[in-house]
Amino acid sequence: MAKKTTPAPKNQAAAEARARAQAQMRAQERKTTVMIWLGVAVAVVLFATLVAFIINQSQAPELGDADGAVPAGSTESGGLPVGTSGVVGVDVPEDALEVSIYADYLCPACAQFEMVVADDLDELREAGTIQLSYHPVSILDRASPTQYSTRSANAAATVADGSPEHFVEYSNLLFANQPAEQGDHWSDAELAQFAIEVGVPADVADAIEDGLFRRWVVGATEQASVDGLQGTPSVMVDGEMLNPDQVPYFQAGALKAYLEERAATQ
Amino acid sequence: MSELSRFARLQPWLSLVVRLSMAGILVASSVPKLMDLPQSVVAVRAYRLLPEAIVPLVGHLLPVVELILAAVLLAGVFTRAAGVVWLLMMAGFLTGVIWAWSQGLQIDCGCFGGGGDLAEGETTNYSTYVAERLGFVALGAYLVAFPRTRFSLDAWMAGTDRNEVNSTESA
Repeated sequence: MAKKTTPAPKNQAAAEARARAQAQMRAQERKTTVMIWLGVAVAVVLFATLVAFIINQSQAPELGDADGAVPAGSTESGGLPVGTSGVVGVDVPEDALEVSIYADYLCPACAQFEMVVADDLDELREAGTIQLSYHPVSILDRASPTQYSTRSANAAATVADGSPEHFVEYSNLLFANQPAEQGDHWSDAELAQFAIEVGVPADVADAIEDGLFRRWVVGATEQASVDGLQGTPSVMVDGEMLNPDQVPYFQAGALKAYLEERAATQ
Repeated sequence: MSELSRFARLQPWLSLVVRLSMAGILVASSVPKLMDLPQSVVAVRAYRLLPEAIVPLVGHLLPVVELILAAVLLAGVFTRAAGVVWLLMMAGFLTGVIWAWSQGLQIDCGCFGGGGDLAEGETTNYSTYVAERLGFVALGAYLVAFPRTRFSLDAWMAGTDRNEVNSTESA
C-alpha cells in the first residue's frame, strides 16, 4: 500500500534522475566512440607521415658515392670541383685553399655575385691558387611553380656529369639569362638549348629533362644546410662560411684580394 | 547580472569564432610547409636549437601535427585539451623565437612556411613575431577557459547541442 501512496513528485524525481543518468551514460558512450576514432585517425596520419618520411630519406643518394645517381667528380659535400683546366673533377689542386661557392640559379643576388666574382675566381682557379667547388643548391623552389631552382641545378649537374669541360660556361650562362624570381621560368627544353649553345653534346643536353640528378640536388642542398649554409650566395673558405660584413664580396675585387691573402698565409 | 547572462549567451559564439580562427591560423601555417618540406626542415635547423639528428624529422612532422590540431579544432572535439596543446606549441615557438632573438640570429621565423636564414638586405622583425605569438597565446587561453562552443562535436557528445544552449553548467 505504501507504494500507492507515494507522492507523485518523488516518482517524477526518480524518473528525472534515471533520465539524467541515461543521458549521462549515452554522453559517455559517445565520448568514448569519438575518442577511439580520433585516436585511430591521429595514429594513422602520424604513422603515414613517418613512413613517408623514412622512404623519402632513404631515397636520397649518398653524396660522393660513384655508383649512385650523383654527377661524376662531385664531392661528398655536394660540390662540383673545377680544376685548373676548367673541367669538373680534373686537375683539381689538392693542397690549395678550399673555396666553395653556394648559389641558386634563381637567386638574383647570386647572379649579381657571379657577375662580380666570376672572372676573379676563374683566374685564381687557373693559377692553382684555390681549389674551387661550385654548389648549385635549390632553396627557391617555393618561388617557382615549376621548381626552377631544382631543375636548373639538375641541368648544371647533368652538364657537369656528361660534359664536364662545359660546366663553368654553362653555369655562367644560366646566371646571365636568369629569369625573374617571380614569373615564367625556363623549361627543361630551354635549359637544354642553353647547353647546346655552349657546346654541350646533344645527347647530354637531352638528358637534362630526365632529371637524373634532381635527388642529388636535393641531397646536396640538405648537406649544404647542415654544413652551415644560411642563404645564397655564400662562400665557404677552408670549411668556414665567409661573413659578408667582414669580406664584402659584392664589391669588385674584394673576394679576390681576401682569397689571395688567405692563400699566401696558408 | 544582466551583463553576466549576456556573456553566458554570447560566450559559445565567441568561443566558436576563436576556435575557427585558431584552426585557420594552423592551416595557414601548415600548408606552405607541406608544399615545401625541405624548406620546413631548413627553417627548423635555422633556429640552431635542436640536434641535427632530429631536425629533419621535426621539420616533416611539425606541419602534420599542425594540420591534425587544425582538424580537431575545426570539429570542436576535446576543445579544452586542444587549446592546451595549442598553448604548448605556442610556448615552443615562442621559446624558439626568443632564443633566436637573444642569440642575435638573423632568421625568418618560418611561422607560415618559408623560413630559414635571411638573404642579404632582409631584416628580422622579432618584436612583431613575438607580439603575434602572444596574440595567439591569448586566443588559446580564452579557449581553454571557455571551451564550450556552438557547432562542436563536444556539444554533440554531451548531448547539449539540441537544448539548454544557454545553460552555463555544461562546460
